[in-house]
Amino acid sequence: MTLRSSFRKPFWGLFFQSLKLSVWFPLLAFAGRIFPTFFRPLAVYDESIIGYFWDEYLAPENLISFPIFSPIFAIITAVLLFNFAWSKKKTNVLFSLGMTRTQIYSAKLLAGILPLIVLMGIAAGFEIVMCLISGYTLSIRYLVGAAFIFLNAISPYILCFCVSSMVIANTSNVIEGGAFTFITMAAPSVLRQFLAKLFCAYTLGASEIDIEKFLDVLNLNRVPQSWNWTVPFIHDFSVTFDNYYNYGEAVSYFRIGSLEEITVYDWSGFIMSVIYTAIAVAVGLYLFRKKKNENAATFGRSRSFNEFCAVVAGFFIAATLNQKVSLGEGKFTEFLPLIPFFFLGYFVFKQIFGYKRLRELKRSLKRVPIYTAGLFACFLCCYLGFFGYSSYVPKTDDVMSVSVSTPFYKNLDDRLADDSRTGLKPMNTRDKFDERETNINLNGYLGTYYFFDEEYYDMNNNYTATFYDPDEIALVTDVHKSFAKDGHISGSDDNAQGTSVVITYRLKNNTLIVRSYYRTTEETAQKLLKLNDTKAVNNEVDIYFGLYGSEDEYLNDIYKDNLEVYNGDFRDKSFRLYATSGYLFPKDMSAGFKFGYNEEELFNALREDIKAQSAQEHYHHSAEDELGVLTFMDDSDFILYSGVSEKLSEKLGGDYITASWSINSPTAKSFVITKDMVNTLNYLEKRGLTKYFENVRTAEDIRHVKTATLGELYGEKNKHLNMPLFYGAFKYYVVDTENGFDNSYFSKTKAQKITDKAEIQALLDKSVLFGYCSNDSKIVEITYNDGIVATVMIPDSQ
Amino acid sequence: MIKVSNITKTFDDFTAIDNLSLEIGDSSIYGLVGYNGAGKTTLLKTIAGVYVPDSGTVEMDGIDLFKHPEKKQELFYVPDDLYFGLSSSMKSMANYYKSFYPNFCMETFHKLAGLFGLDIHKKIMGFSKGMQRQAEMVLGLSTLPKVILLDESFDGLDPAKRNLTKKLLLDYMADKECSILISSHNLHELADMCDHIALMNGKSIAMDCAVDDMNGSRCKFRLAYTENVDRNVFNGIEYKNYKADGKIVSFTVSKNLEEAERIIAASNPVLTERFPLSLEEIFLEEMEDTDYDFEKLFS
Repeated sequence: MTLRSSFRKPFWGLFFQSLKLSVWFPLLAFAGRIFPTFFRPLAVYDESIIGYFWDEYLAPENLISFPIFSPIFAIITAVLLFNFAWSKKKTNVLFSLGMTRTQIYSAKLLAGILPLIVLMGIAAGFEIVMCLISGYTLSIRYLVGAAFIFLNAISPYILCFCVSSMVIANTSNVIEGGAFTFITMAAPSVLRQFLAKLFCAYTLGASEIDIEKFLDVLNLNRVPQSWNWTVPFIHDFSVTFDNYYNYGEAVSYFRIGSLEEITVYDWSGFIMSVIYTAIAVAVGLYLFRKKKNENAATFGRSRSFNEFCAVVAGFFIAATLNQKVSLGEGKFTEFLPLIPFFFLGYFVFKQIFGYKRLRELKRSLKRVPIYTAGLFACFLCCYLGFFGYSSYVPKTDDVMSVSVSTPFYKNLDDRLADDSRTGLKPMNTRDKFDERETNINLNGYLGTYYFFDEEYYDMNNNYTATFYDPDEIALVTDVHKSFAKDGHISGSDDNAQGTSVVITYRLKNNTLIVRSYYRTTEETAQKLLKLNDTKAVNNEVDIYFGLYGSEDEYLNDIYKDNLEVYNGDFRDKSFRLYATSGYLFPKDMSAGFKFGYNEEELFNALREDIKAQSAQEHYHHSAEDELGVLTFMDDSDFILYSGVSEKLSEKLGGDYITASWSINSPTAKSFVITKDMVNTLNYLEKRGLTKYFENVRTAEDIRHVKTATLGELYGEKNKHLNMPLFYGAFKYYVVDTENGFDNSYFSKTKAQKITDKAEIQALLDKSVLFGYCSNDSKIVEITYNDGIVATVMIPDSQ
Repeated sequence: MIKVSNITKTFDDFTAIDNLSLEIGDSSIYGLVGYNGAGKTTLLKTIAGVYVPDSGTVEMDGIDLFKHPEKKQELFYVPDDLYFGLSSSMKSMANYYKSFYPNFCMETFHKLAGLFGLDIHKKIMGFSKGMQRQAEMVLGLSTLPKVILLDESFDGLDPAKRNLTKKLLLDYMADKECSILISSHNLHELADMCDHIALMNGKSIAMDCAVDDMNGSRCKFRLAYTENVDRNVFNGIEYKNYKADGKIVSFTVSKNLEEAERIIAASNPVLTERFPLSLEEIFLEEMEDTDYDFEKLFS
C-alpha cells in the first residue's frame, strides 16, 4: 500500500463515520420531497408548471418551513459533527489519527453537505422523470428554472452549516459554541441595526432598505430585481414570500413567460450564498489548523471568535441603548454616547467569556483607541453622505419608473393618543381601552368610544404610487431635489417637518435606487403632497375604490410588464371588498345614520370626486366647506349601544344611532365630505340623505374648549411626526366632579381654556375634521355638556 | 523508530517541554517516568500530533509526522483519558478504528478480546475502568501499529491483567519489532519490562539510560571493620551514597567493580556484603546531585 493510497482511507473513514450523524435532516427533507411526487396525481398539474420544484417549493407553507427548519437543522448537524472541539478526550482520538487537521475539517464538512445535495438531487431528478412520464417535454429553460429552485433550496442549509461549523469547531466549550454561533449568525442583523441608525441619522437620503440589502442576512424584505447582498440564508424565498399571498400568486411570478427572465439578480442570492459559504469554509479551515486542543473546555481561548463576538455585543448594546438616546437630530453630540455604549457591551462580554480576566481586560484596553477610531470612521462615512450617495438624484431621462411611498397614517393620531406628557387622548382607539374609563357610567352609556380611527381615508394613507409618465417622473425628481437641497433639518428648526417617504427608482438600465427621508422643511412637505395631483395617484384612487374585481385583474392591468416591482398592497388599498354598511355623520358628530346604498353609484361618485380634488382642496379645505363624514364598515365589526338622545330623535327621527358607538373594524373607512364633492352630494341629495349632515350641537351645548398648537402641547414641533395629517376625533368622556377626577385631555398642558359661548362658536366655525396640521395649526378639544369630547383642528390658514 | 528532536511546547507562559530530544529504536520498550505534571503526557500528545509543538520535529522511520500525518496510521496512542462513544461496543469501536487504520486486524481483535475475556458486543461505557483500559489496549494492538504510545495505561488493571498486558506488549514488540513508549509516574511499574528508561523532571529529560547498562554494573557494598575506618582507604573507588555508622560502612559503586573489590579487600574488612542495585536505587544514585523531587516519584 502506497503512502498516498493509505492516506485516502482515513479521510473517507471519517467522512462515512460522520455521515451517521449528518444524514438525518437530508433524509427528512428527501422524504418530504419524494413522497408528494409519488402520491400527487400529475394530471392536475397546471400546464404552465413543471413539477413540485415549481409549485411545492413556492407554496408559502414551504417557503416558511424550509427556511426556518433549514438553519435549525444545519446548526444541529454542525454541533453533532464538530462538538469534539469541546472535549479533550474526543480530540485526543481524532487528532492522533493519520490525517491533517485540514483533512479532518474537510471530511466533517463534506459529511454535512453532501447528503443534502445527493438526496435532494435524487428527489429533483425523480420529479423530472415523473414529469417526463406524464408527457411533459422538458426544455432547457425549465431545467434552468428547476436548477434555480434546487440550488436556492439547498444553499441556505449549506451556508448555515458552514458558518455554524466554522464557529463550533473553533470554540472551546459548549457554552461558547452555542453563544458564539448565535452571535455570529445574528451579527449581520446587529451590524445592520447599528449602521442603519448611523446611516439614517447622519446620511441624508438614507434608507434602511439599503442597509438591509447590504447587511441583513435574516431580512425578508429583499427588493426584487436588485442584487441580493445579504440574505443568503433565505434568499430566493423572500422574493415570492414578500410579494405574494398564496400559492397561485407565488406561482404566477414564475409563469412560463417569465421563466426565461430569471436574471442575474434572481441568481444573486445563490451567488452570494456560495461566496459567503466559501468565506466561512476558508476562515474555518484557517482557524482549525491553528486550533489548540489544550484550550478545550476553557473559556476565552477561541480568541478570534471571542474578539469578534465581543465587538458584535458592543454593536448590539450600542444599537439597543441608543434607542434611549435619539439620533434623530443628526447631531454629532448624539453620536458620542454610542462609544461608551459600545465599550460597555464589549467589555461585559469580554469579562463573561474571558480567560484570565484581568489580563484580558488589560489586553482589551489596548484596543480601545482602535475601536474608537473605527466607530468614528463609521460616523464620518455616514455624516459625509457616503461620498455623494446621499445627495444623488437620478436624471429624469434615465428613469423608467419611480415609486413614492408615503406611510403617513397613524402618525398624529398615535402621537396624540399615546403621549403621556400631555395626557392627550382624544383619538383613543378601542384597543386602547382602559379599565378606569370603561367603568364610567352615565345615562346608560358605558365605556370610552371614539369615532375616526387610523383608517380614516386619506389619499396618502400608506399608499405607494408608481409614476411612469416622464412629466410626472420629473415632478418626483423635483421633490427629491428639494429633499436633497434641504439637507439635514434639525428638530429645533422652525420649519422642521416630519416627513416619512421612500422614493424608489427603477432606471432604464434596470438599476434600483432607493432613498428615504424622514424630516424636511414644510415647503418640501407641501411639494410632496402636491404629487397627489397626478395620474399616478389617481390610479391609486381607482384601486382604492376597487376598480379591479380581483388582484389578478389588477396585476394584469397595472403590473403585467413590471411584476417584480409589485409590492402586494392590493388588499390594503381596496376596501370595497369589506365595506357592507354606510353611515352618515354631521360635522359635530352628534349622530350616525345607517343607510343603504348602491355600491357602484356611490363608489363611482366618491372616486370621481376625490380624483377631481386637488391636493390643495384635499388637505387645505376650509371649515365652511366641510359638511360631514361618510363611513363604510362591516356591520359585524362594530358595536351599537342602546339609548337615543331625545334631542336627536325629535329632530331627525328614523334609523339612527347616537354617536356613542364604537368602530371595532380595521377595515372601516371614513371620508370627510366637502362641498366640492358634487357627485357624492348629488347621490346623497337625490335620496334625501344630506339632512344627516346638519349639526345639532351649538356653542350652547358645549361646556368649554381648550386649544393649543402641537408645539404648545409637546414643547416641540412636527419634527417627530411622519407627516401630520389631522384626523378628527370623538370620544364619550365624563368628568367625575365628586371625586375631583378630571382626565381632561389637555389637563396636563397649558392649553388655553375657553368658556365664552361666542368665542367657542367662532372656533367651531373655523374648525375642520381633517387636513394638513402645520406647526401653527391649533388642536381644539371640545367638551360637551353631556361629557362627550371631540377633537378638531383649526388650520393655520383660518 | 521514533526520533524526537528539540521539541518545545508551551502553554501560554508555562513551558511544559523545553528542547527535548529522545530516540526510541525498533523492538524497544521505552519507559518514561516522572511525577505528576512532569510533562510525560504532553510529550506523548505531542508525538501523537494531538498537540502542535512550538518547535522541533517528531520523526517516525525518518518521516516527519507533522508534515506527513498519514504515517500516523502506523502509530497508536492510548491516552490516559479514554474516549468511547456513549453507546459504543468494542465491536463498533473496532469498526471505527478500522476506518482509520488500514492494518487493523479483526482476527487479532477477536483473539485479544477473548484473551482478556471481554464481551465485544457489550457497551464499553458499562465496563469498569480496568476493563475499558483492556478494551483500548485490545483495539490499539489490533491496529498492528509500529509505534504504540501508552499513557498511564496500567492504571486500574488488576495484577493478573497487568501481567497479561505486559506480556502481550513484550510479545508484540518481539513479534512486530515495534517501538513502545510507556509513561508512568511509578518507576516500579516499568522496571521489569522496559529496556530503556527516561526520567522527566518538568521540562526535559533528567536521565535517560538503558536498563541493561544498569543491571549488574552497579552494586551496593556493606562493609564491617573491627575499628573505625578512614574514608581515604577507599580512594580509587568511584562511590556514591557513602555512609559510615561506626565500624559499618556502605556505598554504591557503578564503575570499575573489579578495581573496587580489590581496594575493599585491601582494607581488610571483617565482613563484606555486595548487593545488586534496584532500579529505584540506581535512580537515587544518579539523581543524587540534582534537585529532583524523589518524594513525588516514589510516593
